[in-house]
Amino acid sequence: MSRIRLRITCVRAACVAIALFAAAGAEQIDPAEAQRREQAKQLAVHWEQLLTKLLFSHLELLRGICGDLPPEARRAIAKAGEDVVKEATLELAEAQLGGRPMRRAAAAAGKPAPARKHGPPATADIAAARITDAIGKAVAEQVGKEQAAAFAAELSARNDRRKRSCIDACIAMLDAHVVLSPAQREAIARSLSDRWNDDMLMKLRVVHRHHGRLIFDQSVNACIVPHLDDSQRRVFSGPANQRMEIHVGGQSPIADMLGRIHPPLPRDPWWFP
Amino acid sequence: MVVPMRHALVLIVAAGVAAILAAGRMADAADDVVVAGGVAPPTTPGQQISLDQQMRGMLGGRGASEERWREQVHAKAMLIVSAVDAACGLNQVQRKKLEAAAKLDSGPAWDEVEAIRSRYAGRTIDLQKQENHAEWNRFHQDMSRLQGMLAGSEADPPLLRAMIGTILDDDQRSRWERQSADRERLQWLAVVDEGMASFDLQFGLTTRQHDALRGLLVEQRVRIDPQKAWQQGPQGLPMICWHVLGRIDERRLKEVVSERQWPILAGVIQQGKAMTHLKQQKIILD
Repeated sequence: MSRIRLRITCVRAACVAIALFAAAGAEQIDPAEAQRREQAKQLAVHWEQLLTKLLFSHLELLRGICGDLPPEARRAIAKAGEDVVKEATLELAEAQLGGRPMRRAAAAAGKPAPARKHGPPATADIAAARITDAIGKAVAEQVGKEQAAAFAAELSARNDRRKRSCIDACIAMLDAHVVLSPAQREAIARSLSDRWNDDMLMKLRVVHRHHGRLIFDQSVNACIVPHLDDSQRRVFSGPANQRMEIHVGGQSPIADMLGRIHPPLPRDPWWFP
Repeated sequence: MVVPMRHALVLIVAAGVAAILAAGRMADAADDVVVAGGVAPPTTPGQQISLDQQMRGMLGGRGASEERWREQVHAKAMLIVSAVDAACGLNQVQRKKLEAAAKLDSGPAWDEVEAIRSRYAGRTIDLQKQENHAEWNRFHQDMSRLQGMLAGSEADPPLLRAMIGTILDDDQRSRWERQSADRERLQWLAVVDEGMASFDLQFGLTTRQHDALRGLLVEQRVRIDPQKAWQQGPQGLPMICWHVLGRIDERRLKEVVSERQWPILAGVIQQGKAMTHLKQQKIILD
């Protein structure tokens, strides 16, 4: 009985070895590289889902702004967006597995690649910006610069609203925690606004709690603590010898938001006949 | 062992066979132990969990003292007293009364901490046993409540609130009520704008649509417990908007969004309606 089992096992093993050899030989790649590519493909599926949400959202916004568009223009705009999504998803997946493609992607977009400890990166933000740019460019070519400007203006207004809502949310959270005066609210909001940069979007969203205290990123803390009085400071961050800060980095606000969207807009046949 | 092999793959197959031969023998040997010996495989030992230790880890860890907890609740209540004073200009007697109320308010919180702590002091359970799962769940609910208290769920303590309503004169009361209303409005706008940021991306809203939908949500204001609402950070706030969308007349919502956006919005409304925990946990108070 055990000899028969052994023979079956041997034959199976031989088949596996032959298949692996043939596969590796055909593509001239080693198994480790093949495995890495497989992982990249799986990650690309995840990124494609996220970025497609953004693409469909942008296209819906565009339809809302432009109203009717000739079918050829629609197809060209949708294709331009879809092409960038495909390209960006692979780059993001590669970036998640290694480091070089991430830097290449950043360089291609003319932006410095931020230092990342781990995880998928701010290239998600760069990818999102590329999708937006590609659509804007296609609109300018296919429909006209005026419509492209209207699209850009809508997105710019949205970014301004996002900045304001992030700051307001931080103030509301603080107010619930340390009972701010109206003057303090204004001062903290001004401080956050003055020191605003794109990283703040994520830093204001990542708040830890420790023994009932709120712990923000150190750059956010720097905008808050100077405006609190002593008793508020004790409640906010504890006694001086127990103060804690976190450092938020490497997370993409757009990926965070897109990941929470459910259900997303479906594929619109108006754009994709 | 005779296997017909004629091609250039002989070596590969032989290598594979040799490798598996060894593996097969090892597997056989392992099988033999089970069958011949008749010995049951070693079972995983029971997963003993010290609730006492977990509680200390969750609520304070080393160095966390009950006194510190009490101070924290008291300190938060005192921030309200200071805010009332700043807004209304309390006289000395009024201030003392409010301070006394703030001190007394930390008592019940303390009692609850004590009751829960004593329930789990020295308690260890075996999670392999089904009958302990209910206790494990209850333990987590209790810890969540305690963490909420520590995070300041008692920041608007009942006695202090009652005292503020009683001792202020008409002018002071109207000033404090105005400030409290501003505060509530601030909280609600923060909830709405967090929700709207998510809707912008989800639906591809134009500014006109954004303003119209935001207007409906602002108008449909509900009272929330800010301490609980902020427990999960800003990320938890859109859920409150989803829930509140369900209270708005559908016809008005349909006027705002396109027919392509509507089915998605309808789905979001359904999700929001299913979020009964928002009311059960008193995150939404109305």
